[in-house]
This record gives sequence, structure tokens and C-alpha cells, in this order.
Amino acid sequence: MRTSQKPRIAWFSPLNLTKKSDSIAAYTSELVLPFLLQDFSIDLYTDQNIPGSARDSGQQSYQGCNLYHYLSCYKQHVKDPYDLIFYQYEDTKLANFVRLHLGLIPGITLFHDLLIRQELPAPLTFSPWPDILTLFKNPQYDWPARYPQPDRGPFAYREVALSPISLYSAPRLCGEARRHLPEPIGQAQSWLYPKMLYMPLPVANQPGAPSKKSELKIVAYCGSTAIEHRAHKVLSALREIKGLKLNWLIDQEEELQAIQLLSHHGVKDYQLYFGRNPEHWSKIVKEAGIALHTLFSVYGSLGPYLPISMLQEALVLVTDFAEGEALSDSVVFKIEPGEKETQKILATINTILDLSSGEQQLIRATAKAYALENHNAELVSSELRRIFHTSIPFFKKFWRRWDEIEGSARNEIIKANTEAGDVSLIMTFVELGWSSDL
Amino acid sequence: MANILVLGVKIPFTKGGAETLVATLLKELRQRGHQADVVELPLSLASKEHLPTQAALWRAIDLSSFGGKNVDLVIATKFPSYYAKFPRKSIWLVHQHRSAYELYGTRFSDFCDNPRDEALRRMIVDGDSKVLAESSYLSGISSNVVDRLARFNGLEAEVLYPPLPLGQRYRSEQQQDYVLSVGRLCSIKRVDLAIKALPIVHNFVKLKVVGNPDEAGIMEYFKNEIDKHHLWDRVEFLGRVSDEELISLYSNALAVYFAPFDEDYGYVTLEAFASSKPVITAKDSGGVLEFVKHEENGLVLEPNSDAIGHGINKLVADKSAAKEMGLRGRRFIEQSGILTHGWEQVIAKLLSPLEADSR
Repeated sequence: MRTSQKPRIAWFSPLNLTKKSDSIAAYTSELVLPFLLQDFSIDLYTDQNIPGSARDSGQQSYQGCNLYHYLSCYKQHVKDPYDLIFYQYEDTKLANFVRLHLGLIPGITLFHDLLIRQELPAPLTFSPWPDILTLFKNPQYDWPARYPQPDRGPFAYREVALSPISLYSAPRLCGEARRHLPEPIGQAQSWLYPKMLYMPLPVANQPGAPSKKSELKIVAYCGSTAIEHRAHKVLSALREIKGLKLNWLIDQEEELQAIQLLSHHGVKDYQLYFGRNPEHWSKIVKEAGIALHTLFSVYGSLGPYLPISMLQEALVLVTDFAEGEALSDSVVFKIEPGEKETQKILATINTILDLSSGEQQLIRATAKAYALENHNAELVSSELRRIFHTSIPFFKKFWRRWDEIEGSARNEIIKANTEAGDVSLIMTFVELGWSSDL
Repeated sequence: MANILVLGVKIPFTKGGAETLVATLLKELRQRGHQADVVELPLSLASKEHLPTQAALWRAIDLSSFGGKNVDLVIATKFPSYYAKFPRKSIWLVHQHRSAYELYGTRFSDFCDNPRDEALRRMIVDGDSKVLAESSYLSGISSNVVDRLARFNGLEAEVLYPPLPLGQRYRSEQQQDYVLSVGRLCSIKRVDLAIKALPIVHNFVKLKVVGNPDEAGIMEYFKNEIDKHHLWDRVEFLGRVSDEELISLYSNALAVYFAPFDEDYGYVTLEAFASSKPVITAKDSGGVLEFVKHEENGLVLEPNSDAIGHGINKLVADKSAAKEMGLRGRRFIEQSGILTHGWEQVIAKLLSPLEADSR
């Protein structure tokens, strides 16, 4: 039974339990949990490998929260219902269990991606979620017969549809979800404010960050070797500038490709760093005068890496497209993608190198203020806290209807097993707690 | 001497490790003078909705006496035999209905996120938790199985490794140029990874596959892969073989391939070790990893055909290292007592509820 009066939250997210990953959700959890714990009692759910004896008992903890296996959530929820269930959704295998579970007990979902490039877990391939939306709206609707589910492509329709309240860590994601799925589950019920919201990514505050960059000629870059991150354009520009050093953060498995690209473009003054994650980037960009965040794709995101660069007072170049396009010209330098991209990068870096220290200082300060105002972990946490508090009454109502659906699903199973009316079988079902009817 | 019933579950037309375990346990109980017999019910996996009925049927059987003899103890093995109701019930758990547990979320489970499937999954997990908890003695055949009990049912159990069915008969002879795969042929056993690895393996190396198909379409799939990669003379399907043939196949293999997904236990690993052969397995092979240590007594590789292929080549290129790994496996088997005194301990534990009663 509950030991505190704080509202209880079940938290489903990739976590950095054993090592730092590049998961945005894991990084977000790390930053916001300490603030949210002031108001909420939070249980963490994971599928990551934790010792068996500790798993179900929740003996193992992370950041002061008990850790449980995700498939045991329903038991906890039945025993002592949560006030909220929170999911973080991301295009990584680490989030597969989150995708599965958000369809088992819907809650608030924070989306970091909408396009799934990872191989889907099998239960999602066969998910009948459109039927569930219909069932939820119409209590008179009978359970439809099972039928093969069509391939619905890589877009996260199911996940958005089964999230009564959804948050998006990029405005573009939020817009896209609203455009594709204007009425997710539970939207017909009365509600006070929009249920699809933009929620900026939190980043760690950078105490003691340099107020003035002494070394402008170090360029930090964390793009992958994939074409959409524009390494080929970046490298062909950098080779033209003498005295510039590139510090490139990549994943270990990209090493060979990165070396081939560097060699192909004749970039000699470089240092490769392995293990892309926000903390590692923070250390690398701290030493750099310029940070490159190039991405030319309708999917993917710059993640927390961009605001970290701003907080670390680097001068930032972004691709003038999608997420970068929406940023103010006063905080970043924009590079138009396309044929003349290399020349644009080259010209922009030369412009930066020619800036007076006063001009540089002004841009850095503006960018830092922007990042603090939008991505400060405490601020983002307080926004989440407000959404959580105001959502609790909604979920009480929402889950009443969801419980009805679960009960009806259970009755379908019982019906299939007891149609013959065998009394001893029915009594056994009652004894096992599967049925309450005699 | 006690009257003991071993509760087995029969999936008609198939035979795997669980059936071997039941047969061997029965033999060992009888050798020790107990009146022992097997009660088996068939399990149909054709319609998962009816699994609760199949579990409830076990619950409804009165096992208290047969032919004027009172039953002293029942030993349940796998889902749903442990639903049997009996005052002295030992459980030596082979596995639960894995689709509702650790296989959920993988391509090896037929449960999707349909609320009806979820209702069924919860019924199975809740029912299992209840009936497993009422046992007088609860054990599992490997740490992997025991770990699942803790993770999903919140139950503590003891690990009782099944001793090898052919005891001391395993032997080691020369290293011929083949890799041996033993087990039921179904997707979760991942024999396809070994077949698809062959194109990058030295072409004099063959794959010998022991076991019968246990899944619709699996042989057609294998044959397609063989045709695609022109492997007609490199893969040999031997079906079920006699004990002596199996011992001979183990004894002459270069290595044994056994890389199922999250295996419960896997006799194959220990049979390979008993035959002084290294085991090629995968990082997600579950119970196998309780025994196989990378480059010590086998290879623990990524679960993909490239990694498997390179692993086989490594053993081919250094046969003396392969032999040394196999010998380390054999030493492990001898030191652990699995070959010799294993059964004494297993039976003492499984029969412990009788002792508790007599005290």
C-alpha cells in the first residue's frame, strides 16, 4: 500500500542503467526525475537486465526510484492504482518495451520520434488499435473478429492514437501528429486544454561554463556518417580553412566510415571521440568555439545536442531546414542545404572567424539565454509537473472506461472457454480467480 | 518407497528436452525403488484462447489414488501440468507458457497487444503465480527459468540442473569437418542462422542437423535458404537419430552449434561438453550462457549469421584451440557432477516434501 500522499506515477522509459546511451529519453529521465520526485512518488519500469531477485520486488533503484520489470506494471496497478502512467517514446530498440506497454495501459506519452526505423516488436505488427479506438468510443460495439492487420508503415500512428495525452519534444513532431491523427483515444471526453503539446527537451545547466571562448578554431561536430547529417558537406568545407581543428563525436561502429570520409575529403587535423551521448557532447563542445548541427531530413532531430552547444557558448551552425529553420537568426547561423551547401558552410565559418569578440559575445549570450529559457531542466520539469497534476482527474475517468474494455476482453476469453457450460470448469475458473461468476 | 506421479505435457508428434527429462526422471525414480508413473495430458497450441481450459483440466483431475494405491507425491514439470492440485506437489519447472512471458514482444510469441491477448496473458501469469506458489517444493531446470519466476511471478525457486540423459556414455573422437546442430527444428532454435552462415564458412565444412521439424513451413524455409546459397552438399538433415548415433555424431564434430533464443536450459550444451566439444552460441541464448563462456569452452556471438560464420571459421583455422575449448567443457561437466552424482541431489530435493511430512 502507498506510504506517501504524493500522486503515484509509473514511468516507462529507456534509462541509463548500466552505461550512458545516446537515448534522448534516458537523458530526459535523468534530468527531470529529481525535480518531479519532489511532487510525485515514481516507480520506474524497464526491460533492461537487472538481477532477477530484485526485479519484481523493486529492490533495485535508480535515481531514488524503485525499478520493476515492465510486464509487472499491471499487477502493481491493480493492487494500488497509479495516478498516472508516463511513457517516453523514441526510435531506438531500448524503447521497444515502451511501445508495447503504452497500448496495454494508455497514459501520457512524450514522443521524441514519430518515424520508427527499428524493427517492430511482433505484437505491434498485429495490433488491432483502430478497433480499440472504436471500442473505447462506443461501449455498445462488440469485439470484432480477429483479422490480419494491414502493414501501416513506419509512422507511429498506433502510438499517437493510443496516447490520450501526448507531448512532443519538437514542434514539428507535434504538428505532424495533430495533422495525421487529430482524435486519439479519449479525445471525445470533456477536457480543458489541448492534449497534444510541444514539450521542449531539457538540458543540464552548465555551471561554470566559459563566458568567453579563447579557442575559436576548434569546431565540434556530432553528426553521424549518414548522409542526412551532411558530413560530406561539412568535411569538404573544413578542408578549405587552414588552422581549424575538428573534434568529431561519433559512435564506435561509425569509426571506419568516418575515417574514410575524412581521408576522402582530405581533412587532416581532427580528433575522433567515441560514444555519442549528451554528456560526452557537453564536454567536447565546451572546448570548441564553433558547433555544427547539420541535418537535412524531415525526420530525426537535433535532440539536446543543439541546446547543449548553446549553453556551452559555442557559435552554432544549423541546416536551414525543419528543426533548424524554426530557430531565430539571432541565436544560430543557418546553412541552406543543397548544391551550394559546402560554400555556405565555408563562408559562414569565415564570417564567424572575422567577427569581433564583442559580436561573438553578443551572439553567445543571446543563444545561451534562449537555451536557458526553453530547455532549462527545472523549467521543463515544472511544466511536466503542471501537466501531470492537471491530468490526474482526466485519467481517473479515462481508466474507468479502459477498465471496462479490459473486463470485456476478459469476459470474451472466459466465454470462449466456458461455452459448454461445464460446471466444474467454471468452478475451477472461479477458484483460480479468472472468473467471479458461478 | 513412495508412490510418485510425474506430470508431463505431451504435444503430440513432437519430442524435445522436456519429454527426455520426464522419461529420465521416471527411470531414475524407479531405479531407486519408487513406484513411479507418468500422467500426461496433450496440449494444443492451436487456439491460445483455450489455454485456460487446458490448465483447468489439470486442476480438475483427482490424482489422489489409482488402482488402490495412494499417491504420495506429484512432480509437475511444465505448463500447464503444475495446475494439478495435490497436497504434496513438487515442481521441477521446465518452462511456463513462454509466449505470455519473456517471449512476449518478440517474433516468437503469438500474443499481440489486442486487449483480449493481454487479458489472456494476465490470466496465465496470475494463474501461474497462484498455483506455483502452492507447491511444496519449487525448482527450475536452470537459473534462467528460476530468474523468470522471480521476475514475472515474484516467486523464489531453487535451480536443479537436469543431469544428462545418456550419463557417462558420451565420448570424444576425432575432429571431423562438420558442425553439429541438435534440437527441434523451429524458428526459436535458430538453425537458420547456422545455415545462412555457411556461405562465408570454408567450403569443406558441413552442417549436420539432428532433429525433426516442429513448426509448419520450417523445412521449406530451410530448403529455400539452401537453394539460395547453393548449399545442397553442405547441409545434412538427419532427423531423429538413435542414442548411439547421437553420441557418435557428437564425438566426431568439430563443434556444436546451439544458439536458440533465450533457451530454458538446453541439454545440447552439456552433451557437447560431455563429448569434449566447444559450443557456438549467441549472446541472447539464455540458459546456454550459464555454461558457455566465450573463448573458454565455446564462442558467444552476436545472433546473426555473419558472426556465426566467422566464429566457425575461427575454430576451423585453429582446431587445437577448438579442442582445448571442448576439453575445458568436459572438465566443467566432470567437476560439476552433472555426469555422475547429479541425480542423487535432484531426486533428494524433489522428494523433500515427503521427508517434511514424515518428520
